[in-house]
Amino acid sequence: MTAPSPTSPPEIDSSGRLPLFILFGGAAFWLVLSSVFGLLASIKFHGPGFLADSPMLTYGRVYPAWANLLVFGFCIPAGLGVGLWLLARLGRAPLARPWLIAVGAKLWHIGVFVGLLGILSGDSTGHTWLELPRYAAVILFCAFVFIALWAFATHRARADRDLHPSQWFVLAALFWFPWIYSTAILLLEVFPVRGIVQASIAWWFAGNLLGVWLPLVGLAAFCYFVPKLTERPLQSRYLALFAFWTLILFGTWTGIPSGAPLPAWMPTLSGAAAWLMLVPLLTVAVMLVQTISGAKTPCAGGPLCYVKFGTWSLVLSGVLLAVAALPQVSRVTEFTWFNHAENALRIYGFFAMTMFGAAYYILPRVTGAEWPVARFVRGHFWCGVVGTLLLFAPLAIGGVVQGARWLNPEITPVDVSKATLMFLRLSTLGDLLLLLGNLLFLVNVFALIARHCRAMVRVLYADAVAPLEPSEVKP
Amino acid sequence: MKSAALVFLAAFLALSASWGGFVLAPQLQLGRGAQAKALITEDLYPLARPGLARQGLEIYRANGCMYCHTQQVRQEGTHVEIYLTEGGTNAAGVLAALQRLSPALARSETLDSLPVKVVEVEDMVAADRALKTLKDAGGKAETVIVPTGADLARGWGRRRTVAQDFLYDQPVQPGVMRIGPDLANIGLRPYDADWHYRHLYAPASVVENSKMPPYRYLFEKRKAGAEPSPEALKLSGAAAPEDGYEIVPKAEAKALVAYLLNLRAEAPLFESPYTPPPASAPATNAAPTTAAVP
Amino acid sequence: MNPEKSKTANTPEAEPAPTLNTVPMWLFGALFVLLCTGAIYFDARGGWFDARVYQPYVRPPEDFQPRDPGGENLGAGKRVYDMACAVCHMPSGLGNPGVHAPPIAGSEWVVAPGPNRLIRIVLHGLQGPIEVAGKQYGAGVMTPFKDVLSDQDIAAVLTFIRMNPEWKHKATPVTPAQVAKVRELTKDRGSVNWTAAELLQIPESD
Repeated sequence: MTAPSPTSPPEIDSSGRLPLFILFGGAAFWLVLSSVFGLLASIKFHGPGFLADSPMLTYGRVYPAWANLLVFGFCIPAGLGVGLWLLARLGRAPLARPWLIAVGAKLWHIGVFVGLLGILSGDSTGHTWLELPRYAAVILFCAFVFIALWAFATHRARADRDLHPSQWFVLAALFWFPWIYSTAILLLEVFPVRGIVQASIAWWFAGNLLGVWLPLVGLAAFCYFVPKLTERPLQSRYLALFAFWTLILFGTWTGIPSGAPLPAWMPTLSGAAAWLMLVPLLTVAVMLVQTISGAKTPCAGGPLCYVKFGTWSLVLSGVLLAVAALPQVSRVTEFTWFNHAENALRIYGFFAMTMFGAAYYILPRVTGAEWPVARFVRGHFWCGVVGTLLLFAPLAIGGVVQGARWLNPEITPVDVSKATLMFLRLSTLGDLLLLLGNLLFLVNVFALIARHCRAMVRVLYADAVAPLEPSEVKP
Repeated sequence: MKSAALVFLAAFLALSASWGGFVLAPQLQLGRGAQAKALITEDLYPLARPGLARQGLEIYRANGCMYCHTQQVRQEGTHVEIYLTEGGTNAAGVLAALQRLSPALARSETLDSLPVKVVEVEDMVAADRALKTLKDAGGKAETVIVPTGADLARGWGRRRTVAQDFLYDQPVQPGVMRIGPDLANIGLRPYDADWHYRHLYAPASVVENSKMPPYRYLFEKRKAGAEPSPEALKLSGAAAPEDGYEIVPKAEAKALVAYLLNLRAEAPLFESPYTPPPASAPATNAAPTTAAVP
Repeated sequence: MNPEKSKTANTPEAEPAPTLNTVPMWLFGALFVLLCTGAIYFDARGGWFDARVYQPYVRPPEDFQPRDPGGENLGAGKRVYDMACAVCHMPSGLGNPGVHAPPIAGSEWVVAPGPNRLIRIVLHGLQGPIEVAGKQYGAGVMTPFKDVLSDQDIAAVLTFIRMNPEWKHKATPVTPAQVAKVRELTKDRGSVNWTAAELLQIPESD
């Protein structure tokens, strides 16, 4: 098989313009909407009567709307955008059929929209992280497979036959999601299994989505952007291989919570897997430290800052997961805000921040233009960092306080929830800051796209009204 | 790894392992579960939920009750208690046996207030030994198996929740978060439908300082007739409607409350055994009081 | 955005290749230690894939099953019987003449007033001729179980065979303490099998 000749980076970048606009533009929009729902859910703890008279805005619907918009609205399309760009860039070949990928991306966003309406109108499936109803899930599944197929076609047509570690991570992620999602939808919604097996499957799905899919995509970006931005080689190919294998081997077993009403072997296996997940995360920490040590590049609130913060958040969230798997700890932290804090750190602190970093690098190259408001890039970073920490730290501490109180039968449920109020108020500030940061991102992305479109129109217009060259005039 | 095929193979191997472990294996072990015989009573458990309660599960799901309430009672251990139920004719012998097992109880007054808990032991072997001591002395004694843990001490149940409890639920709602109390046995706690209606309509009116949001949209406010409707909620204070109006539950609220009252996961099972305390003995787990548990 | 980046956006850039440094040994060490810890943890708490074991139990909660009113718990003994005895004496308890195993069901040795002789048979085995239910059994050897079964297991299985309602046995239960006592008394015997003649010298009950 002879490889086609490499395409130059600008050509590759421009080949992905339309699909990346749609993927990132939609993702930024859903992210802001998700933050709004997150803020609403948070405010409800200050006054339980807040917006309580509308069934659409009751806590039990706003909360899943927040979670699903965050993961399905933002994380997956943003991850797909970064993954597609990485496959094209590293394969030195333009994106295959960008128009069709754009159609798939549109379809995905339609699926998210339909699913959001479903959740708000009470059609949630009732399984955590899988609330999007069946009709939306089918659209999302088809859209993902469609995009993944063209991503694979892009990969097949690559000019550079050697695989960069980032490509392993992206390819595995493209394979992972359709499998876990189809299993979950088929066995929970289409041909539902009976009884507690449903919960087992839903936990398996959530563990694979948050514990494997997000790290796979995030680490793909990590392996590419950290060396790129520091202008140093990645340390090293074998470390990346080691992290890849241990991540997929152990991460996939982490989903079952420690007290689940399932036979003891299942939560016990998940607990052991959570400790083993320390191995890939330590490896990632080693890769990060070795790769950037001695690098002179200051990150200055740019993409490198985002990726670095994201990587450390991933390591920390994995350590928390391992600690919370200890039986002595899990009896306190189970069923508390601690788990929510861990998820927030993983999704916001790690995945979203890494994706922002990648987007701030990719989108200017795709459009060939600078960010319209460069200051916002830095502002967004600090909003994201402080917001994540304000969301994470109070909820993690509040979760421990809450869990310790649940273990004391003398304390009434009302007093337990009263004890967490101060922490919830602090976390509302975090939600607010994240919303602000995400708004900055949205404004920047949309302004960039708008500016690009305006420039395109201007060029077309200039072409249309320009006097014909003599050579073009047919005699 | 040099080719995409290897990456896919790696992903396939890793994912199929956990798929086999957490999707296929539980389906083989638990997916074909059937009703089981409860211990002692030998009743079939669980019973299918009645139609209205099944509709109530839909309301529970649609409104996301599981984001604040679990249906999973946890258990931290189990111990065995020996109760002396009858002194028999040989009071001196029984007192001597008590002296050996629990010196503090070896007083003649003890025999006047039976049944009395004599000892608490860790397993059945030790329990049998204690039981034999009492029986040999001519007394009558009973063994009581008591699961322990903070959740159980709160009166949320008598034993831990197991797979069998979810046999007929679609979808199952084990929950992940306890902002409010566990509901696995809410139907067994001393709250009637009327209390649930008032609690859903205005939580703070029945549980002071409750942070539960009100679910007023499950109720209808309408003009009261000459006679107030028998369904009308007996509200007082700030939650009460203005004069001439009354609050009645909609069909959704009725279904939801029927479901809550049907949440009873208490039958003793082989995998989570316990025995009730002897008749007229105080319950080991303090029964909840209305004021304490919303 | 700094000018350096806009420059790179328009020039072909080389993608930096990763180095080929090896994975440090301590990472493999950490993996190994965590694998061992995980395996020990699973062994201690995982119940070995038994669908009936839930936390906090580490075995099927057979030790916590309520007794039948007035009766004893025979389930644990039945498990031991199926595992250790049924091979020769058959699940039905009728024995197997092919291996010279006498019946247990209806045996006067089993439903004796006390378990003293039975405990000894299980602990050290039996060989030589023995008469059971009016028939002679000669050539068989029963192996000792003293190193295989605990006092609790022996007590459970003897209780089971002495009280099994299917065989209409109604003898008294056997406690682990009784087994422990006999084990202590005979601890110098080693693995020498009993003979019927020897056993008949020993009182059936204390």
